[in-house]
Amino acid sequence: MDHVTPASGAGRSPARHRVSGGRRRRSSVARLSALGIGGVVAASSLSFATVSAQSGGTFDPMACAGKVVRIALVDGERDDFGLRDKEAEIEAATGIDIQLTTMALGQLNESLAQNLRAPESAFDIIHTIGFNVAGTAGAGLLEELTPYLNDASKTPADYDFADFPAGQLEYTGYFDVESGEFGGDQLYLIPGIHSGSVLLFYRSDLLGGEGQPPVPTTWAEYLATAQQLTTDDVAGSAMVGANDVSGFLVDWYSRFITMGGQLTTGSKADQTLNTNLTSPEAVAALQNMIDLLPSSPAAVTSYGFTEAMDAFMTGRVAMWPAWATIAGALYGPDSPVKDTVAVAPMPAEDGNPRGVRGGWGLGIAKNLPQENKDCAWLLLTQITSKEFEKYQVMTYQTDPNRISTGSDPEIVAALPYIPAAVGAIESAQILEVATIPEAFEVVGAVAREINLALTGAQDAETAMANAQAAAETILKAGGHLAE
Amino acid sequence: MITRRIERAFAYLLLVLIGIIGFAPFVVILLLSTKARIEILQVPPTLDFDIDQIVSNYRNVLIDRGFLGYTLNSIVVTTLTVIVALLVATPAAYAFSRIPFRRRDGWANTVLSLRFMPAVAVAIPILLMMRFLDLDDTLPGLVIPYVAFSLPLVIWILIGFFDEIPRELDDAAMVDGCSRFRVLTSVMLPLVRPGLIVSSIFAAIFIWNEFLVGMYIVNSQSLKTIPLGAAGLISAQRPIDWNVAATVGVVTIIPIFVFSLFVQRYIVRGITAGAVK
Amino acid sequence: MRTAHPLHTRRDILLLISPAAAYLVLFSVFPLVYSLGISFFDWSPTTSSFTFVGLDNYAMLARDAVFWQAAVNTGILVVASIAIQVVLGTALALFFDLHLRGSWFVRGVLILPMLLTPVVVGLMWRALLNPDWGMVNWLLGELGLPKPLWTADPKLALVTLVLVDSWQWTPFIMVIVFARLQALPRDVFEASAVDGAGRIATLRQVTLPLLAPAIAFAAVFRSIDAFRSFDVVFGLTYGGPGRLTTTLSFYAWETGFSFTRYGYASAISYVMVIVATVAFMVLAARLALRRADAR
Repeated sequence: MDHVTPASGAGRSPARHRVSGGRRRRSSVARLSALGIGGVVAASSLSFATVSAQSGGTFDPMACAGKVVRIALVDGERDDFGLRDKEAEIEAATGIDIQLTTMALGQLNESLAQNLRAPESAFDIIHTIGFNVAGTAGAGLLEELTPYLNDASKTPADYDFADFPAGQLEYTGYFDVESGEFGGDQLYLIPGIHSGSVLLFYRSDLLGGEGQPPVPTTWAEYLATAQQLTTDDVAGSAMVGANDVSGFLVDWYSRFITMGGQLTTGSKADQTLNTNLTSPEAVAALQNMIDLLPSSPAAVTSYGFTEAMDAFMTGRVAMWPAWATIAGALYGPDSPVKDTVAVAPMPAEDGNPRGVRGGWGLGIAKNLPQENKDCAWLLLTQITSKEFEKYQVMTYQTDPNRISTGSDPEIVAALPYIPAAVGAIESAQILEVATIPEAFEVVGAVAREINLALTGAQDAETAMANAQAAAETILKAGGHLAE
Repeated sequence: MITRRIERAFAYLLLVLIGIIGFAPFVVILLLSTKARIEILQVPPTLDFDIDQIVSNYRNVLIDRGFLGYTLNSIVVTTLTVIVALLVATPAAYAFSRIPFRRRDGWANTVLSLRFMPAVAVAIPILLMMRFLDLDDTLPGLVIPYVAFSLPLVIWILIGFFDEIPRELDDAAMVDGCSRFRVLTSVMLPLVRPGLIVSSIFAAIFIWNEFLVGMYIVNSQSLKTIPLGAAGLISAQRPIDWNVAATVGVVTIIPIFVFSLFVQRYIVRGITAGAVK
Repeated sequence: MRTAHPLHTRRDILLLISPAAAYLVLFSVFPLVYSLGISFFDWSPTTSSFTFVGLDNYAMLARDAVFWQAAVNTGILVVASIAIQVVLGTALALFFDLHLRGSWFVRGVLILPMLLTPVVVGLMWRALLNPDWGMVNWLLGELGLPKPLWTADPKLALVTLVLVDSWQWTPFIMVIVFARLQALPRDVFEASAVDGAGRIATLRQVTLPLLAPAIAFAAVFRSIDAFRSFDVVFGLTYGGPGRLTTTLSFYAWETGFSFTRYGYASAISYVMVIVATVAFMVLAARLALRRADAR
């Protein structure tokens, strides 16, 4: 029995990506129609790679046949897996030679910073995390995509751009370069390959049913429910208690904003941007996490995603707020809890469940010849299509980017949490410091103090005071806050 | 004597105990590498082996995750580096050993001091230099700095080995009309061969494991060496697949284990070349 | 004789040494100087800032609590690791000096950790020390002992790092001391045995003093390496909890690689270069002695 499970992330070939006839599957022609590419495709004939002239008005999938498109994706988040699977198929359908490079997050950001400023970028399609949009699109380094989107000869008729959630487009789509803020009407990115939503994962056999505590809708209820559910065998709650940015992003920030907290005041433009980490909401959010410790697994302060997920999977946890793109694997075929896991919106003190907005965008480097940009766009439409997303989400449980994904019966049947994930995406909130390039540093610094507080080394107030001091140092060093 | 015997028995017991403690971590990793992701969470692990699972883990690591390719890259990079380092270092070490010049020991120490520089201090400049030479994200881009990292210790070890060869041999050859260079290539090289082996091993160990500078220079999957591939397992946003991580461990440990059993005495010699005379 | 001719000698030296010298100047010394230069700039490719700031980065370092914490962590790591490794390594060397049958194999196993890819060492111990399913805590539980949170407990995390570093590097000390033992003149021992000195006394009065130079060499060598510790931190704790296991190398790497603040990262690492250089001068003094002896 071949145990290639989604959780083990097996089966992706990181080898060189060259077109080879042998890799193309026999069924590729059949699947091409599924990819929404009409017309006859000379399957398997890359030697037939003539660049067909733009026949004004109609989209020609083979317009870039024989051309190379270089794409940089993040490594380790399974965003590359779907493309690796579909590579041969897309190459057959478009005649494009896809060259895929994957890099760890830090490396990717650094490489993009260099490449996008070089005389000519070594990548055509680039992948940027929301926190780095200000550093790429905001720095004027990406191609404006609206002209491509609106050109019927460049965009497939069934691309359905309106299917992307408005909130996600505000984040990994539109950016106002002039003001340095998210949104506006200049499109630089297409959301993909995964977005990031936060959901409450819980055990449907322990809560929500008859005679069981209801699924909590506020953080106070969450705490009480966790205490009530905790037994010798099962902990009421789990969280990312380790030294990990998600301890901040998922656990602390969701509490903070729905308790009425606002992360920043002032603006970077006049050097008054500052964080409100010593506010009552900030301390209360952390206190709620500290209060949950007795209702959490004993080792929760060493829990990153891996450990929290393992604990949930082995039935030792009743509730866990998590990125859906991670926890989706709880629904995977190998998961022992796949029949008892359920999702709900995150609890919210103010009645408006929402979490931090996560996710990635795909853009095109500005410093490229026009032909490269045209071909990059052509490929971009293929890897952000409905069909591609369906394959990626179904196979790897990454977070969806398209509204229609949440209503596709086949997807919902296999992954019942997906509609909730799409809902969470529509209501998610952009982290206020995401527009500064030092966003990650700030998040990291605060996450460390939260982690220390959870280990008992400091109380909530001290932790948030230290976090505020660390954040101020970073903001001042970055010139966003006057000395 | 009976006490002697008891002591002896006790010593052997201790040896076995040390052996077990030393070996146990590796056995556990080996065991974990045979499990499915979900079975890792079961303590203590069962001793039921599912051959399909084992094949799947190892195929995943070697083929799908490309560790076979990483191993090949590691071999290429290590071999090239060692060859270049030996070519450059041997004449220098010979000169240090044989020809007196002013502040010779001071210079030798300066060379060795470079061995102790924190790699993190040169990583960024090296990246920029390789980028300038258009060699970033290439294997030569790794080999060039790795040679620089290897040279100090290789030179140092070789000086020690040259010192052990009697000078009369050089003098005799030079009286016969050989140049220094000829003496080095035809008289000394065969004699200093153990030194070449020892210093190669040391350079190889270092390069085989280096990844701080490598992470800066190499981006492409197809160019990663083993440590760079292993570092990819620790990603911020994804659960670690422990069975895969353990398999990676085994795949990297086994060649090193075999290597260490065979070259143990050279390793000992190399470490002690500077320290013990 | 041709060797005596100073011109020839000079030409020989140039011919033999210049390739190595040129290589080292170009790819070792130049990057070090370059790095010093960068440390005077505020430079980040992510924010595309590049301004000369003089000694500002160093002034900022002096006020940077994380830097000082990293310095203290590094100091503790160096001192504690070396103490453990010297004692344990010497003891092991003396033990192997009994030349029991099969000890070559055990020695081979013990040497293994220091040859391993450090990321793999970190990952390996993360698995072994996992609080939920790691074998170490399972074993402790079976023995009725408490199960500590090795890497998450603030009081324990740095200790864990010291222990793993010692697991990896004790063999280094062992190898050096063992080799020295093999080179000792056996008659010294026999003489003192004839004198009727007890074994402990022989060890203290004869063996250890003879081993002292080798031990000192090994300790200094190891100290400088421990001072640069990065790999195991990366694989095992990633600097946490909080900043409690962040070493100077890790902090410099994180600043340079993750946050791409090249100027500041260079300043951090340059402080390390200076410390390492000073430490090396101590070592060099010993090495010079050694070379003088050898002649």
